[in-house]
Amino acid sequence: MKQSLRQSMSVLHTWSGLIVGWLLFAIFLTGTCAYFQEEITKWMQPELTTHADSDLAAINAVEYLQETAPDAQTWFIGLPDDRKATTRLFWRPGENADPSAPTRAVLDGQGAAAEIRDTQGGFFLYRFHFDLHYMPAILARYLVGIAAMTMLIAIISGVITHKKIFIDFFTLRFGKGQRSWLDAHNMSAVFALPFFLMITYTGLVTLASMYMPFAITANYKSAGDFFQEAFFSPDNASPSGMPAEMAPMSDILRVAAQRWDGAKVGDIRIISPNDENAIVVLRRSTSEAIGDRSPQIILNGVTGALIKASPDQSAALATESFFVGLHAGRYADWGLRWLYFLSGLGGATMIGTGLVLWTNKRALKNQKAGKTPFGFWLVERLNIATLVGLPAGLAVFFLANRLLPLDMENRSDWEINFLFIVWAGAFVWAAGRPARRAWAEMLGLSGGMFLLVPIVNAATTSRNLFVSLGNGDWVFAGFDAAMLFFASAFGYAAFKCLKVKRPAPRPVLNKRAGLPAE
Amino acid sequence: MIHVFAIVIAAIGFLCLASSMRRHAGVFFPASDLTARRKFHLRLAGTLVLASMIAVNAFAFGVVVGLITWFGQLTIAAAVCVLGLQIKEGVMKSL
Repeated sequence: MKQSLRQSMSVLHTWSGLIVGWLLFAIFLTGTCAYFQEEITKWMQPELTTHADSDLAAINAVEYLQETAPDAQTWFIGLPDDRKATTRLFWRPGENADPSAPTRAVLDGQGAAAEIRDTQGGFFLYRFHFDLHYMPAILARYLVGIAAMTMLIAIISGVITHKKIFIDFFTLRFGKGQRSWLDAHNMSAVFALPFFLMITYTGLVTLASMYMPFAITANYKSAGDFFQEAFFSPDNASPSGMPAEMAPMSDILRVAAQRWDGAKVGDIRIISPNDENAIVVLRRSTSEAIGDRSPQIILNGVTGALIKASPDQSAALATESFFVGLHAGRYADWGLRWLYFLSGLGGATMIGTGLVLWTNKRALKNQKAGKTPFGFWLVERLNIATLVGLPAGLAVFFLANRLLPLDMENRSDWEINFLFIVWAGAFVWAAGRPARRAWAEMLGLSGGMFLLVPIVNAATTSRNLFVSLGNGDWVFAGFDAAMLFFASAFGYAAFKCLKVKRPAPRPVLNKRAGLPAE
Repeated sequence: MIHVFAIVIAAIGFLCLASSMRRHAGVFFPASDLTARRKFHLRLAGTLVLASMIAVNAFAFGVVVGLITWFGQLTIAAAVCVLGLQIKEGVMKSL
């Protein structure tokens, strides 16, 4: 029988949402956390208490690199700012360097060497939301791209399906079973609909050259040539082999400050340091404007003279830069950042309620039929493992940061491993338990894990919630308070889950007698 | 602080829009009092309040960031409005 457009869209919405739902939930949740990646990193490096000074950090970082890697081919310095507490250094070692020698270091906010625990902090959550983990980044980016495109389909088909979008706008009915889940799904979807459309579309734009490389391959010899032309880089940076003294970093920073009306430098790249052909590339901080492709200037590393500045962006590049910046939200002040974060949580809620709705719709039918198909069983277990197991894993990720020995080898990797161990464990647990019990137990466990985070923080550092509040340390106080909020939310959900009884199936009437059938 | 102010004002705008709907009007006044004229005035007031928040945000943050901020504030304000309606309906049922 021919279906109406709305019915067809409903089917498309249901299945497109289901197939990639768990991956989308993970992307949305970690991506949402990434709006506070610098604050999360600060919390995960409690040793750092120094105030960040980006100019001083740049000067000290160059001194550190002169001592540690004077023969490197390239130095890269990521500068601290109001949000970033550390100075991050990477270098490409020289040809004769010891291959086992380190190629990166983390300094404090003033560029001084500091004893900081080995952690990836919030950066892991940021990378996970498009690179995933335990798999090649390219493969992961294709998977994430497919999920994002499918999400776009689910959003558009969902809008067409939702025929009472205005009438039901303010409708949320509690305690009505499937109807309540549908209300929650609709509400979370409609309220932040512009955000979902924006974040999904701009997410695809961030990796557009990878998903649609055809224009590049048709017009350039290699992708490298395209990036060289589009994203501005020095023409000739090969070393001469003649040693030379570098220009003072303070002079170089002064040129940037004059050029950008005092705007901060975000990062510095020094190519062929201590060579006559040394070049310094400065990029303006991304927090200064929405566009993520910040302007750059190239200076002679020996004389400090300006060689060239990035030209005005073409309309296409400026548009791309704006979309990437809009997605990443690095320009946002704290208020707008919270709005991004809450809208992102709304996205996770929308996906989560949609997944639960799928099982709720079919549960009663299965109950009536007296059998549980494997597909239904799998979806229900994956729902428990992902919607509750992943948040529990995140809580354990934070706990591992405080509890793992500081001198442990590959410590930062083990923080991450613990997240996935808990996530996988949640699936194993859900697989071996009745669904309703598993929901309640996992929700309770998640609540408990989140509750432990501020407690363990207080036990292992001197920066507990009350001290942080007293010191006006809003990053630590906010983080601990957020953990307590999530603990309460999961605890309440576990309590409700234990109380709610699944409705018994309606008796099938014997039509002729009007009595329940045997 | 401006975000809190803007969210509160936007939530009031949403409450005006909600009260112009037959399903929710009973929370504010007897549903029978929802005349066509009153419905029009409530819709107009709600729309104007929400639209005026664009101007406030544009003034505070510039046009582009102000518009982005406005969308975010509407999301939170709508959620606040729905929770407010739920609480009010719960209180009315318990009386």
